[in-house]
Amino acid sequence: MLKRTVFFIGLFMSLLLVLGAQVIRAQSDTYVSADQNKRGELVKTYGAQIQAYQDTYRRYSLAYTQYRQLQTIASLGELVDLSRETMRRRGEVILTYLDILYLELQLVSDEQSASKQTLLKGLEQLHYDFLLQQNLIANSQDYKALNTRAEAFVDLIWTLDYYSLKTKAYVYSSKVQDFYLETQSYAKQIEEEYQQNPKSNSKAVERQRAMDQIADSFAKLESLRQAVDKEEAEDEIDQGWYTQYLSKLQAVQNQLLLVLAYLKEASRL
Amino acid sequence: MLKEAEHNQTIFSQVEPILDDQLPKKSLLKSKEVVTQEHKTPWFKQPRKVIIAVVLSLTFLMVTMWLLLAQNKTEPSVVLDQLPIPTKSPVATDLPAQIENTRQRLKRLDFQDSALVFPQIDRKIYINLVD
Repeated sequence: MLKRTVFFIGLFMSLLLVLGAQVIRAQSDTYVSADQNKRGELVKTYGAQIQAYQDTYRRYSLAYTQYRQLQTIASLGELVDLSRETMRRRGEVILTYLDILYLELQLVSDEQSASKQTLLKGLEQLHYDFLLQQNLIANSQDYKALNTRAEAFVDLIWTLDYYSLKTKAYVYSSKVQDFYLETQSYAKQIEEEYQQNPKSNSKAVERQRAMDQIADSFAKLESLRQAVDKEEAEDEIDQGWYTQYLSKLQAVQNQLLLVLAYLKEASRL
Repeated sequence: MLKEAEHNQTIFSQVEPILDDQLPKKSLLKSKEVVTQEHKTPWFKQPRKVIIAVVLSLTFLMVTMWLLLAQNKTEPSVVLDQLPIPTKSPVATDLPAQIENTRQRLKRLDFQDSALVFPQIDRKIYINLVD
């Protein structure tokens, strides 16, 4: 009797605990990776929307060819409908792209940066403008109204180009900056370790050489970083500027890898 | 001697003889009484059983909690391609290992994230009427 009672109490309690713990674990996992999940969902949606846009665009191209061949009211009507649909799909793709850029920028570590805040505000404004465009496109009934929307879109897309390049450059640069700070802290830790635990003559010489090498590497890294941080005029920001910017960042990344390799060796001395 | 023998006989004769068939019956009755008594008293009013139950429950609780805590220490399963770069080194213990961990993460830093590539779209969807 006693054994049975104890068994059932134990079974009930363990079930309760396992269920409770699973709920807590699930909640905690959700909390930790909430931003990453959101990003994953956005990227998934983005892919699906691009696919939908491409399918509609194919039908729109066919309708355009058909209209040019037939030149009938019916074919024009179909072209208008498909133009509206393609523009709407294109707008959806851009809105999700803006969401991804915004989230990526939000995840960047430096909260108080003025550049980051400016970019966030710019992206918010663009999101609003494109959303407004979507409503206007949905309400456009004839080809004239759609052409007016098309002209407005061209202006907006240039602004999006600018914010897209600036945001991406900022995000990648911030990620490299985080690694730079981490590398600096390692150098500091090694220096402190050397001071606290001095070694014999030969080892001390080796350590000194390592520190000199690391100092030289950091100096080179600084000059590379300054080249990246150089301010550009707004009208200079285009695809060419972005490609150059990435190559400069790449150089900083390579130099950082070299410094980290030196630091790893130095930490063993 | 005779008196003494008589006395002993008297004592022996005073003891009530237990018959063979009476012994199991008595034991059976006694054990039945004990069982009935146990049935009448609920287990939680019996201190010995309550103590055993509490000790067993607590032990079970502690073992379960320990197992759950150990489970929680393991990293949550996530889709790797959704996580571009982890921000902290998870298991690095000593400085060279930490540096190596950072180095590996930096190596994986990709400046061509497909999610950030500008969408391939037709920038000018415009309806030109045929004259």
